Amino acid sequence: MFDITDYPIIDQWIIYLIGLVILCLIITIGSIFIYRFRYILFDRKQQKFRSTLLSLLSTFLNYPEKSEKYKKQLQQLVKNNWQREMLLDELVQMCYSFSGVYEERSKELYYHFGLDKISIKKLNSSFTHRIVEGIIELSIVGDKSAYSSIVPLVDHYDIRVRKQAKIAMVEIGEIKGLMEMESRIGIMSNWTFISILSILHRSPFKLNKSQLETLKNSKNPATRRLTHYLDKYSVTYQ
Amino acid sequence: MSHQKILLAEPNELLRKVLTDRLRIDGYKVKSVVNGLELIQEMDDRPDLIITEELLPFKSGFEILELAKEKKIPVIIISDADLESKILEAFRLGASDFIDKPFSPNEVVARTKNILLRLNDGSHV
Repeated sequence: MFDITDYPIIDQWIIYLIGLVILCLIITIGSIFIYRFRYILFDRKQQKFRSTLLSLLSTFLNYPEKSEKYKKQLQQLVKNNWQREMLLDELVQMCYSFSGVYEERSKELYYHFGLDKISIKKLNSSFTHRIVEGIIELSIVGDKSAYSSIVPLVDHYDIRVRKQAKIAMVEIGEIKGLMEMESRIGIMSNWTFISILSILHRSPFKLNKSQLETLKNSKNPATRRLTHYLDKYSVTYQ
Repeated sequence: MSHQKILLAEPNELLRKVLTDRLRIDGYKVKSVVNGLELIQEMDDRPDLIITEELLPFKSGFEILELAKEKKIPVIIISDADLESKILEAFRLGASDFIDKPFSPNEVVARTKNILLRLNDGSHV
């Protein structure tokens, strides 16, 4: 029979140490295994959920006459936060890709599930990537009520947030955003400039002569350059 | 009810699902693929029409246009870059139609019907 007391005290300590190391190793390997197993299970659960979600969203969009039935089924399916986040991602994708009734129905679901509150909540996050995510979501959905929450972010310390907020100002605020941008923003990077120009091409809106003159005579060189493009291609002139 | 075959190439799962379901409502037989290589393989089945995203993994929609032209299969290109040069390039390479994002799946179906109707009338090249 193995009796540890038969060994000298130093050896006893070494045996305890080896035992402790082995125990730690077993616990670590066990934890990794459990974590990995749970991750795989959760991933499968997510895939299954996503597949059902996409089918329901597709039928909701393609069969407007049965929309109430599918809305109820969606409500039963989407229960917790990660499921709401996934629904939010898909709806934003649909608002970005679709126009007409499909876009309208996607927006209807977005507001029905209160996903606008999740997007607005992201604007106050301590993680900049979450703020950028929130701004992009609100811009794509075109949530005009979020305009006042986005404008202060043009002074954010992080450049990515500032850039996205400037773009969102024009995308959501349209003429109001463009005029406010002229009065507030000093420097605009080429990337921001191109993004704004592309938004104006994607969703044009009309300016009157005095608004166009204000932009033409702006002290901001980027705004003047932008106005030159707008004027040249008559994107926003009435 | 139409039973014409449509080959749809769209990497985004959600868009692929919505478009496939929408086309099936109108009676089309739809085969959907996720990348350019699969699209080329499926072209051997001689679909009546190809609807493809311009930016596909492995082969772009524009590369598909040249192959489809050889097989005389009409192609609708879907793209989110509505640049004049890109649209003209698509038509130069033989696209039957060009759809800008954002688009309505109803519009895709209407354009599909038109092209296939012209094809059946023999007025489509």
